[in-house]
Amino acid sequence: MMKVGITGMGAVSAAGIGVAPLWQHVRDGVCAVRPLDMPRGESLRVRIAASVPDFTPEQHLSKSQLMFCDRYAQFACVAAAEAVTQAGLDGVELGGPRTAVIIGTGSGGLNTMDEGSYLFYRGERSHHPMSIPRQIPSTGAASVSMAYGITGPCFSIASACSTASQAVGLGLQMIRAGIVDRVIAGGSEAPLTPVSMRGWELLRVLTPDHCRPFSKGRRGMVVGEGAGVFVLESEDAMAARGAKPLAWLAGYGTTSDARDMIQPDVTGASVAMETALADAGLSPEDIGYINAHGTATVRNDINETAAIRHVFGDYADRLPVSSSKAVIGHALGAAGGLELAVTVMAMRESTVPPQINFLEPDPECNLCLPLDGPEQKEMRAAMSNSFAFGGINACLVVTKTD
Amino acid sequence: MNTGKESTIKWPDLGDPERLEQIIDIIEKEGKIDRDLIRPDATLETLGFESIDVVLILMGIEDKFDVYLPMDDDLAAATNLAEFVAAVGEAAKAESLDAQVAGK
Repeated sequence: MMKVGITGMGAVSAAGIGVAPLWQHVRDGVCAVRPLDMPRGESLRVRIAASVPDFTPEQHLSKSQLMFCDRYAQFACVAAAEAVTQAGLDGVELGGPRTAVIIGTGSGGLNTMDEGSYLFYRGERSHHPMSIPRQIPSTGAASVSMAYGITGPCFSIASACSTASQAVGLGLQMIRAGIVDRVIAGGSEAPLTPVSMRGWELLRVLTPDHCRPFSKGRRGMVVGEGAGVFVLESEDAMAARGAKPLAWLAGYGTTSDARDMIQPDVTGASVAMETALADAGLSPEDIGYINAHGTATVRNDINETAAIRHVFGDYADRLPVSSSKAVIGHALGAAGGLELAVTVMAMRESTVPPQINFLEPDPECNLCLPLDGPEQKEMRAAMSNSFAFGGINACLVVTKTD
Repeated sequence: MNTGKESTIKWPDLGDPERLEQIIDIIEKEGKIDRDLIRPDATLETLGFESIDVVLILMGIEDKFDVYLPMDDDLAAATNLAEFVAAVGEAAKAESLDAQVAGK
């Protein structure tokens, strides 16, 4: 089977623009959650978010891109550019029909919809003339395809919090199937609108203060935003241009609970992890670190712990697990992308990022949590989990290059 | 108020009897159930509450007391109305919204 490498990574997150600040914040346990002050958001009860700081789209995008790109698509373009640059691909190699773009989003252009609805219902006619393309969930992917002349398959995936992981996983499968040689894959999300935040409040999964994954006393997640995008390439395509991967994208597993829209399921999560391990040809003991979904909701963390325990057995006693959501919030459709970038960096740097915001152990979350800062650890493989509303689970496994 | 005379499970002391009555009012209205069924030992399951009913009740309590009620351990673990009222009553009385949002 054709091996697939990750040759470039790009990120926009609450830590700033780039994989470097993302990794620095997560590795050093520096929380990037900040107060949320939105116009028209005065009645919100939860006033924190992991928002992207100081993002000036004019610095990164062309005039045409600015016309068509909602904030979510802007993030996608910026993250894709970083990944393409790191991969060392010029336009000629990347363009054409043998490359695909799969950049998903949970909700698409929410800011555009929010602004347009507000103006229209107030009786104003100053609607953005490109509001339809701006709110379409595939505009992020389409903008990236246009930026590099990529004429192969181009589409978006929408599977809530598993979006980015599924996009990357499907990219892996498309390269293995010989459909394309390269894929720009990932997820992006810009969900911070007053109405959307009210919706999250009503789901009662938000904490009003601190996101505390796997800790006793956890009360929920913090909404984040950003994008995580990767360049995936076949071994042959890399060899043809003398490129070396940052990591091998070795395994992907995805399942659907087919049970409950909101409550998680141990079996669905377990089978996703087992499938990803089998796909990578690895046994549980080969995994050196799990970047957990770890939303810090009461239910997710219990469920994920049970699933990890089911898959890894007693080895889970010494298998480090941490959730980056305490640092960068839950970036929804982008989360799996940002967290895969963290997972790759952890493996490359032989450093397990810590679990921050921890109060005290929860017997139902009895995992090996690195609580005393970053830990040095050699690892040959690592795993990233994503579990979404709708019962959609996705798990990715990366392995180290020689 | 029906205090569940056949059960040893009692309503929690919320410090203010009126607060308990207000919460029971909301359970009756938003849960769309007969007030006689609202007893401390009644389980959410036997009342036929689905998650959406619980959500509507929590919304009603939030609006009444101007608080935000995250799903914490106590609320998630509540199986009968006494535990449920204790969990939401604690949050409803303990913190103003501003204090809650300012963080601990």
